Formats: sequence, C-alpha cells, structure tokens
Amino acid sequence: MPASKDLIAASATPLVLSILQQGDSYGYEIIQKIREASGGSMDWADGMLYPILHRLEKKEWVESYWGQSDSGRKRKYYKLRRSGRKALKDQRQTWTEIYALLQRLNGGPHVQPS
Amino acid sequence: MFNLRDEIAAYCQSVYPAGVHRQARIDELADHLHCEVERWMGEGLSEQEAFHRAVDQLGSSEDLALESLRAQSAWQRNLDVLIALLTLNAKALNRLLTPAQTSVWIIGVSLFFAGMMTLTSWLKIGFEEPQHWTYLWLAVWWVPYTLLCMVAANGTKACKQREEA
Repeated sequence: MPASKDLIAASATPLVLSILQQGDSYGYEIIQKIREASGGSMDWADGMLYPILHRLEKKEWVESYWGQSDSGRKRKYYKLRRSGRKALKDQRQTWTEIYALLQRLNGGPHVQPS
Repeated sequence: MFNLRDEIAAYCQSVYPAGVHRQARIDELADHLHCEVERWMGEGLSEQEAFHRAVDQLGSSEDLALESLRAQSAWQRNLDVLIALLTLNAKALNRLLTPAQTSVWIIGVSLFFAGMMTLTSWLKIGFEEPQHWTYLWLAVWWVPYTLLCMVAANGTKACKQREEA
C-alpha cells in the first residue's frame, strides 16, 4: 500500500540520512535508491527531496560538493557529517519506539526499542 | 523546434527566479531533469515527452519554490528580497513574499527612506539646499514602494484565487 503524504514527509529525513550513510550521493540517485528499496510504495514527488537536502545542509547534518556526471554535467553530491550520523541514530531510535508502541497497541509481538 | 537544454534551463529558472544560491539550485535541478529525461528516453519516449514526464514527476513548480523558500533561513530570504528589489524583479518578489511580509517590507522601505531624508538633510552634505535631498530620496523611494504595492496586490489576488479554488 502506498504511504500517505504525511508519512512520507515525516520519514524523509531519516530515509535520506540512511542513504547517505551508505556513501556520498546526489539527489536523483537518492530518489531512485529510496524508490527501489521501498518497492515503489514511497512514491515521492521528486522535487520534494531538494528542499529536504538543503534543510539538512543548513542544519549541518550533511555537506555538499560539486562533481561531474559521466556526461560532464555539474552534479551536486551530498555527504553525511558526524552530526548527521548522530541525528540518524536519534531518529532511528524514535522510529523504533513508535513501531514498538504500535505493536503493543495492536496486540502484536512486543518489540524492545534498541 | 523542441530544444531540451533550453527547455530545462527555462523551467529551472522559473522555479528559482532569484536568490543567493540561485545558480547552484538551477544546476542541481537541471542535472536531475537531465537524468530523468535520459531514463524516460531509455524507455522509448521522445525527448519532448520525456521532458514533460520528468517535470510532472517533480511536482508543481510553485510547491517546489515554496518548499525551497521554507528551507531558507530568514536572513537568506530577506537578502533574496533585497536583491530582487534592487534588480526590480517583480516575479521573484511574488515568489518570495506573502502579502503580510510585503506589508512589512513596504513599511520597512518607507521608514528607511524617511530616515535617509532626515539624516542627509540634517548633515547638510552634498546639496546646498537640504530639501533637495528630500526630493531625491522621494524620487527613489517611489520605485520600490510601487513595486512592493504591485506585489502585495498580486499576492492578495493569488491568495483569493487559491481560497476560491
């Protein structure tokens, strides 16, 4: 089932940080990776990603640098900073707690937040 | 005749009509669109069809510009407004300011010019007659004031249209 717009917006930051934890990346590649990993259930409007990346840059969780694509175009790459890794850890913890709470409320197996 | 490079450049410029990081934002968005167009062309679409698909997938350019503004800090946004004012870029001002913010800028600009009138008349520098400064500042003040009033009127109209829709 496709995720709702609100849920997509709320989960965008940890998702982007998780992708960048795997290595430096650029906007288009990040979107493709999320789409691929979610099996299409996270169907973003592509334009939504860039303001998120700029916000993360402003918070100094990521930094950017310019590189070149194979065809010679200018390409902006993003790199996760140490503060971004910490933020990702915190966000992961929050999402685990929410998931555990949902499980408890719905009578599912108890999940202990890490 | 359809020219992909020009179409992408025009689209990106319309999304980011002004701003301190304008060129960087445009280059980044252009790279994204080129990637997406290449993907759709790989699936057999023509250049023009692929471009329209890529733009659709981006979402509305207004939403994109709005989201981008939200990501900016207040000083950055104010600097963008100032640059747009100095370059008389009404289109950029329309994107950058809400009607309420436009009112604040109208008051701010008017106070600035009133202050300059008082200061230069008081210092008695340049012109022999101090009131000449007043005429000069009034003549200059009229330009940003009119521009901001037009933006305010346009913004209010756009808000009403959005509410009606």
